[in-house]
Amino acid sequence: MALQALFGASLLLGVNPAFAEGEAEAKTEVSAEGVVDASVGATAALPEGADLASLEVVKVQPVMFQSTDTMAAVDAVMTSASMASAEEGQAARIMGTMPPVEMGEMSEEGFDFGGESTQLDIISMQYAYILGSLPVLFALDKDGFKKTVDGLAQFAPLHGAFSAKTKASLDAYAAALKAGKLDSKQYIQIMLNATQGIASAGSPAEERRHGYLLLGMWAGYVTMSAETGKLDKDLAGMGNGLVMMLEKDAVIGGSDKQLAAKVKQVNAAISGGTPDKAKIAAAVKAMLAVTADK
Amino acid sequence: MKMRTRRNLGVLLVAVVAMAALSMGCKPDKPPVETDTKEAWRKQSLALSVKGFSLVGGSAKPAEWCGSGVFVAKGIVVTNAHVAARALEISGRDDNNRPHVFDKILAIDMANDLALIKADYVQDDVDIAKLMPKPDDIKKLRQTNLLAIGNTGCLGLSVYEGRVTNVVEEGALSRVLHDAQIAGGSSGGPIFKKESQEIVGINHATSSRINASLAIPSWTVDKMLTERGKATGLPLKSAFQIASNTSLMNQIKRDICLPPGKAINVPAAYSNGIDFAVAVSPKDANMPLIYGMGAVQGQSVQYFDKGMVNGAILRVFTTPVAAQYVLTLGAPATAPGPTCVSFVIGQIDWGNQINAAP
Repeated sequence: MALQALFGASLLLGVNPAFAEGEAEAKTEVSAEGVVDASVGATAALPEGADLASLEVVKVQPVMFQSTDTMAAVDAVMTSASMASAEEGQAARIMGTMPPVEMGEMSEEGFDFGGESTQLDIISMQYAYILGSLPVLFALDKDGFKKTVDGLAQFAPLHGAFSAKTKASLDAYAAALKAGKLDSKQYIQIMLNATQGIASAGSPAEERRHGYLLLGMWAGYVTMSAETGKLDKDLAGMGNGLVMMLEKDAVIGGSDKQLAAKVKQVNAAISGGTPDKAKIAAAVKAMLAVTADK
Repeated sequence: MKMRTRRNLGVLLVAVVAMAALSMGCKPDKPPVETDTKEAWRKQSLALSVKGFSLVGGSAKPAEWCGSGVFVAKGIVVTNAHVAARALEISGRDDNNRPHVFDKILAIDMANDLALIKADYVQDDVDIAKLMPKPDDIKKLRQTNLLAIGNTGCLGLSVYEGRVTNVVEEGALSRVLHDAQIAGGSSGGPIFKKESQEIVGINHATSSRINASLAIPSWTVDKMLTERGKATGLPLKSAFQIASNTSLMNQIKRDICLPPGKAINVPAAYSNGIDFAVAVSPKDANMPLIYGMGAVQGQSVQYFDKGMVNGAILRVFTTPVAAQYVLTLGAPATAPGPTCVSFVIGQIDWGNQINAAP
């Protein structure tokens, strides 16, 4: 299925006319045994009585970039980024979205804090954004790319604030950037590991930190996709999942609600018929400018 | 719909003109051997009928669908992964109405949407199509005249003409874009160079966004054939089992305890045609748990599979459309205390088992 996501493609499976007319059950020669064998382990039916409307959602676990389609799309977008030719003002627009983040600004407080965002959360998001959007400068602005990569070296200690697998993928991706390479595999792994990092966090603060890392990577990917002309509408769906996390999850509060509103604006900017790169850049920049509660 | 009618009319007109030419005794000037070459696709290409199962509402249900394929080695047909996935029986007919039955699958590549299936009996005179080698400059393929063969509408093989409009290569992925109009049932069908009848690609999708038909290039098929063409493969009857040996790709696993009346939402964005699974294991089977799987529509979630959980469950789905799907797990307000549960969600990796077979 691969580039299907990029092209907004539809598969071409045909529906057997007999099946479409509702005669398939009578005509089918598929043995019941075969189907039962195929569904071994899949629970056939669940008892009724699930009152989903009565539940209050207090936790949200986003799942992103998990399927072969989206992973292939990331690979394709990064390849495009590595071969992109610049439009006038494009590199400056992208550089303009990158927040002036410095490791020195990171506050140690909040490591064991849950409920409100900390400076560490915000720095994690901003750093991840730079990592996520940086590939688009690879071909457009080689000097800007190199300078930004050099500046990222100071963030190596930040990697230690994440799960072991997330740290390993951040280390590997950063090392590739330093060597002048774009590693789409590690790029995807950062997102997958951050997702699992939310799931297996040992504290609310750790959980939220991984959530902010994922937010930054998503925003970076939005910028890279938009700037390479390969924006996928599935990205808005992923953004909705992040909004759900920011609005509903009990370990998230305070400025996170502002962030949710900003993510919605990014989603609105990427959901239109013909996405406007300047509008998307402005919405992303506003999202990254949200400040911490603590 | 209008476009499809116009295409059908076009095919009909071609047929009428051809019949009229023959009835007037208008014999072709070309030598017979060339005529045979031009029609080689008729024995090489297949209209496929598939009986299998789909993953609807959480479990497997019998289903039938159709697709297309082409012989690329003795007894081996290439088609799309989304045609072969979840198949229990695949049969095909060439354009001379000769039947072929496939009982094994040798390989499946979900990212490139390709599968190799193997016939249980190989007819001696079956024709094998030649795969075009990758050219040094893939862009030179643009404007190549094509024949696109497909089982359009499950009505048998249709033939459309077109040209390559572009060849896109990004990362490990390549696609041939062309303007031959193809429709439902053409999945897995070959596009041939009109002159040499070499396979240029295997159709897999259309894009309304760029108004193009998309095919996987011949060299990607060739790589798969080289790697897996000599494999024994797995019987279709057992290749797509959703059992303990079915792995989930990049699965996310979480343990959580939910107070009475509280829930966790798991939003997951999936494209269409993705098979995914959710496994839920309550820590205490006596504690009640509410389960729901739905799709986001506007501001709300429309649940299409739900129920109470009493013990471990496995639910399986094929996404009908690209959407944001949401798993909800919650403890009823009447629960005597927190309900602790472990859940796993991920895409079903059919290739894990099939591609590992000897």
